[in-house]
Amino acid sequence: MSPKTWHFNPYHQRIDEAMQLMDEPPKADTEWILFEVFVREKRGEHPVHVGALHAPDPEMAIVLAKEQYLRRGDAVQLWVVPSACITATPIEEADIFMHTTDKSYREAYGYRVAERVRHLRGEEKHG
Amino acid sequence: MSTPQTDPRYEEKLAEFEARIARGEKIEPDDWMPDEYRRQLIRLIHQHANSEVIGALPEGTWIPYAPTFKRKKALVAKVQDEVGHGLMLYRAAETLGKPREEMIEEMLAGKSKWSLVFAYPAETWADVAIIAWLIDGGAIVNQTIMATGSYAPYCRALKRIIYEESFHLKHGFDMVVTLAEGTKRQRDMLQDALNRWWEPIIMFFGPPDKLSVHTETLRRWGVKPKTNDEQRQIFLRKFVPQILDLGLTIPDPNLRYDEENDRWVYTEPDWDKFFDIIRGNGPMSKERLAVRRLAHEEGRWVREALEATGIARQLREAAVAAPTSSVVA
Repeated sequence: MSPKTWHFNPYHQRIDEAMQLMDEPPKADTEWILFEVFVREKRGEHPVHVGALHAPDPEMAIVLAKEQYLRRGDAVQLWVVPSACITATPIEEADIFMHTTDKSYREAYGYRVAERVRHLRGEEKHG
Repeated sequence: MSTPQTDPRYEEKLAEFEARIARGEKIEPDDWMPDEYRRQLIRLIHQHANSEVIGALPEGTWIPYAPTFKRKKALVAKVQDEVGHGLMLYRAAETLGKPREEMIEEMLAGKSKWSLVFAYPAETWADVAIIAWLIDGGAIVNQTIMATGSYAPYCRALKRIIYEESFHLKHGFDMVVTLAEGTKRQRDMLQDALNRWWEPIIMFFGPPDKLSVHTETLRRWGVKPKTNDEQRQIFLRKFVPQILDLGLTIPDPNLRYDEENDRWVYTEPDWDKFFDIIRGNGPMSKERLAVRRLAHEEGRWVREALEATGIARQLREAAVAAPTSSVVA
């Protein structure tokens, strides 16, 4: 059974008024600021970037970010940052991050010690 | 960022771009891209965003009329999700250079399209069930395929959307099964809804491949990883058996599975009707836009009041004074 008169839907009750509005072009709207949104899921973890949204100010950005990005899932904290505050390297210069020389001296895997210790122990037993 | 086609480096840039995509790498907003790639993606994502927002309307109307409190809560959650999807998709399209306000204005003015399925009325509660099961089901088939595409901000948005859509689908199926296992009147209402929605569902995936241009380029560029016909086949493969399992009849006497060619055969919809509807002549097209427009105008005082603190203007001026490099998405 369809409630064809849609008593409880205010917009459908005013459909004639709504249709009249269509004769005029839409008016220019407010312009909001873009914010990047970060969520800290659990204590001890990094805040993680989840997306972006527009808001008129940082407080509203928090309110809207909770609606948009925390409808589900866990969080202990929410950050918003105006996107204009972010400085980024250009994507086409990704090669500046290439490791061109052997920098394994900076890494634990650059040192092979276990084998040499086994040798030492072996020599002690014999000698 | 784009190199004009008269630029001698154009061919070189294009080759690099295509090689990156062929390697399975994603394109980020400030990567070089052909103008056509940018244009096609803006149009596609913009229309997808419009569809999410308009799609909230046929279902939103039923919130006060849901048969149980649990159904009402689920419907509210679904509608909230759809509007949120619109937000993320407008954002993804905006990374390609089209301002959000412009996209919304074009949608409200009827200049930018949205999916034809939302130009139909949700006449009964069974319509709400069928929409949530089969239209969202179709959307998931489409979005899962598009998420394998090349433009990273769109893929990231789709990943989040698909996760949320899985609840829509499951809940939709739950509503359909409840009606199917109900009284004769409920089962008849369900069959009637399917009868009315079947043709729009088939048309949902868009015109057949033989009517589409640019297919090969769009596939190579990762804009459209599968064609409309391919997506339609995936949908039919998945859902026809489920529909028949419920004891429902599909209102297409020609629908059958062609073993030899491994594809479903169906009555080709009237594609002229399809084009007419997406141009704004569907049964509810004008009402949908009018309702959206009225809601938008009624909310204007809230948006303006929020702007009145002046903080937005200060932040904008600060951004202009100290520009940072690169696009973030």
